[in-house]
Amino acid sequence: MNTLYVALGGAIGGTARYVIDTSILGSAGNPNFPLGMFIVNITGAFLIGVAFGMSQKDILSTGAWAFLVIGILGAYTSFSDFTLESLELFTHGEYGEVLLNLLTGPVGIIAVFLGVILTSGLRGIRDAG
Amino acid sequence: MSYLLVALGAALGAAARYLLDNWTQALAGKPDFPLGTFVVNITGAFLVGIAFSLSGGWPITTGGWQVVAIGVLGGYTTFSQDTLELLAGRKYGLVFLNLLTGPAGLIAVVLGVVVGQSLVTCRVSKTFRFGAFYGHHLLL
Repeated sequence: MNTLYVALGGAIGGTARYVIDTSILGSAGNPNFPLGMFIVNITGAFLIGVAFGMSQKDILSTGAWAFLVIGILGAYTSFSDFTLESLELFTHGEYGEVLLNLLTGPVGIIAVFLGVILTSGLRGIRDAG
Repeated sequence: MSYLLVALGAALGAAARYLLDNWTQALAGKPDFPLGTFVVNITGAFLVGIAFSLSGGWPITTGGWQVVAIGVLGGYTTFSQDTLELLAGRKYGLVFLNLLTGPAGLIAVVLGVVVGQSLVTCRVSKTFRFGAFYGHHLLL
């Protein structure tokens, strides 16, 4: 049953990513910096942190977690888009922008932590698990 | 129409991620680091490299099966779930290890492109050889 929730959430998250990514400058195929996927992945990271903070207050059931976090946010963020666009930058000789795109990693981690702190304060980090 | 294809693809990809992630974690004896997510993301990066080669290169977000690929593989891979899993397991020190996923993914996508390219040329040359062989016998 959880798999079904994941699939339903995935449909929503994936479509949201597609819409946002293609509407913002720099979607796949555009040699400019892939700002669309950067924004998608960072906002997704932040929301994952928010969801985690909320889960510590026992707000989300297992099914809700499967739908919202694994489904929607899991399909909203994307690693394959990120690698493909990094490859595109690399083949266009934009080596500096490849490194810039790799910042998605650390910025994403910060975004997750910010999301947790926003919903459950620093206790969210300390009392995690 | 392409939105519907992306939605369906992403639903499939997300479900595949969920199942493979759980299966990998169980197979590895429930390790307290996100091995499943890593396997999903790296295989996804590899597959998107193959898809890129098979589709003939840029741009990749035009209609048809490329949209499905973006939908499926985009929904399959995920970006911050590994950070989340490390947080939940209180493995804050391992968070920096996730930063290695980026470069690992770049290696995987390049490998995928190379493998995809060889699939394309192999298919072309095989078709040519088959057609030449069959056509030769048909004519004589």
